[in-house]
Amino acid sequence: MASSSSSSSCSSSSEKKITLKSSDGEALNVEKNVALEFEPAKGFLEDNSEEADDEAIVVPLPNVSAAVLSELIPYVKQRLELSAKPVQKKLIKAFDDQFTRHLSDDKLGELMLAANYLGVNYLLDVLCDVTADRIKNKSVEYVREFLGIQNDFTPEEEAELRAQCPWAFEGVDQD
Amino acid sequence: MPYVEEEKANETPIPVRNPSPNLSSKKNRAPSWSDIWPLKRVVFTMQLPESLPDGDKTLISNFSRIDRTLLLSDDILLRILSKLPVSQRNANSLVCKRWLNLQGRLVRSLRVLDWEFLESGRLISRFPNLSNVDLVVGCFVRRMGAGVFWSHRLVSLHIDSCFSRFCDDEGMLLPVEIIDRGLKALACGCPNLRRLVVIGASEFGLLSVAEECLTLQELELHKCGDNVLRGIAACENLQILKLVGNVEGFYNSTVSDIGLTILAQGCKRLVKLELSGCEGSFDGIKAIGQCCQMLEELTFSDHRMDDGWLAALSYCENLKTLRFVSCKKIDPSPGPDEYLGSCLALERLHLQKCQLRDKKGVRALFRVCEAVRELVFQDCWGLDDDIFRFANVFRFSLISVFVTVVVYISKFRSFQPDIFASAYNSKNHEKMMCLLRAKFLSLEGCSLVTTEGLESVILSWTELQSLRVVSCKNIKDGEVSPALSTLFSVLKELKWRPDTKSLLASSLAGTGMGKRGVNLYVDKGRLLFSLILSGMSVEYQPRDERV
Repeated sequence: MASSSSSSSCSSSSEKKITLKSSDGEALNVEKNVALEFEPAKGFLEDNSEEADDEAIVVPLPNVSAAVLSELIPYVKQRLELSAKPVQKKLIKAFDDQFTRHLSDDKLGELMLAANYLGVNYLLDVLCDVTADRIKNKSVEYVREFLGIQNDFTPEEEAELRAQCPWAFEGVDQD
Repeated sequence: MPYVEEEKANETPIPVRNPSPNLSSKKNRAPSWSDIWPLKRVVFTMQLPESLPDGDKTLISNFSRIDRTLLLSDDILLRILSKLPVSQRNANSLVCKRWLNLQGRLVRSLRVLDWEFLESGRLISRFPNLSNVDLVVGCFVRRMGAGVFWSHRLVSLHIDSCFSRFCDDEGMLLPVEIIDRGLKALACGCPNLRRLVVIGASEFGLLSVAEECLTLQELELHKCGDNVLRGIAACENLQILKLVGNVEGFYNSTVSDIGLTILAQGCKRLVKLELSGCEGSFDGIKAIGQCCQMLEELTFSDHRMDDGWLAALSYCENLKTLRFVSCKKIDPSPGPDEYLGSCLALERLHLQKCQLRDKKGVRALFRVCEAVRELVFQDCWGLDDDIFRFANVFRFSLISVFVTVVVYISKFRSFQPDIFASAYNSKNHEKMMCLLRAKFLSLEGCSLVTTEGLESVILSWTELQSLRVVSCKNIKDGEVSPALSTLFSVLKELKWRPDTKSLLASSLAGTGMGKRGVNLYVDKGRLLFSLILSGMSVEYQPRDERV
């Protein structure tokens, strides 16, 4: 796991920094408290806690690309700062909204997978909301396209399912 | 269901390094992150990140089909699905098999329209977490192409032109054995069932439900007879029960004292009980009162109780709400007052669409319910001076007990203004004494009440705090006297819309009618309007929107 581009950014800050290595081999320096928000990194750091020099540790995150990581890190950092202060939930929500508003559909999906892999649950919640919002009241075909889901029904199965709804059952309001 | 994800992981030796150019050459659309991620995941799970051969790219086309939800757990997908509107459910089920399964797990309430769907097991396999199931429509034999919808307040079904009358022998309902078998299958498949509505089952079907579904809380049973109640008695945790014995024009089955006693001894935790079209007498109600100590709400709908049953109500010691719906009589011979007793915990007495011409019965009812604090008459017939005089019989206890009197008088066809007027007469003053402490008065659709009549009464109601006057055409804005307007200014709450237009507006709320530009419905709207003016109570429900 040789990293090529990590050396330049390592020495810039005096704070305790951890190096995260993305799937495409890029190394990113982050504060330790931010890195601890990522579960694989946390586990890795705990396993390697006997090493004295944190700077020497390079945490491999083979499922996240550098592009995604560089979006995630500032978000997590700011979110950490926000939640450290006794701020209102509204502010946090506004911050989340601002973060998600300009995400493209592909980016949204990428972030969701990354948040899932990294175990950043608060982000995952927000992204679930946004995803639900974007496929709300959309057709089957749109939903499949949006999430890249392959239709695995045979035409007969699908026809049967489509026919079943009106005559076999109907929903009752109270759920 | 097996996920595609796992299959792929097993079957593929994978090239990792830089797969995207290759993908783009094989596909129509540009490569996206979703094509890349599963690869990495698979690689990661195989723990062979470095040792994979770069050269083998033959299987790469498979990955163009991998979707981005594969890496998400069921929990996360469920979280997304549960945020989507209910109307999108059927569409979501069609996305793929995994979504069909997940969406099915989210469905809790369902109305089964086709018995075959239940019997074949598809219902249970598709919706494993059902807790609220309505089987009534499914229990009827389906008539293909039947265009006529025959409806009663309690039952509705499609009929065809050969139909003459509802009769068991004609095979309108599925045979009892089939319904029982279906119930058993449902009970085994959905042990978490909480609410069930069924028609025409026998005690055996219900026994299997009682055995399997220990958490069953609410049961609605149509075409219920004494024998069937043996099955229900086994549901020990039942809290809400509705029994429908006789529905005029549809079916006739008998619930009598025998059934009520069996029920009372089995279901001791009942909180709400509704007896619709049930027979019985003093003994049956007494048994229920004595055994079901937690009973708080009792509703009689179109009851056929024997004379003298009313006295048994006083055994229901914790009863808080008593409701009569569509009753032609209360109790023609309630027996002597000293045996009547009273329900001391009772707070509400609601009379809805009842005939109150049966004077003795109403008098006895008022005596039994002397503790009530909220009295609601809605769409009743026969309320006249006499009825109020009976209320006067227990005036003293009323005045002492009534803390808040709430009187709703809605759409009283025979409600005469002189009831109000006479209240202020010194001669008949006592008549309205029971209402003198009323704090809330609601008049809706009482077309016979005049401004004068209203004024003469409420000016004497010193404790009145809240007044609602809606759609009473003989109460006119122009006739409001200074005294009345002074009173209005003291009231805590006033809703003053005596014109009949507002009734139309409120009746049509949510139907889409009455809005500008909905020309299609103008005629129906006009019809409704004239019906309402002629004093008919009209309910208009738009057809359900189906996917």
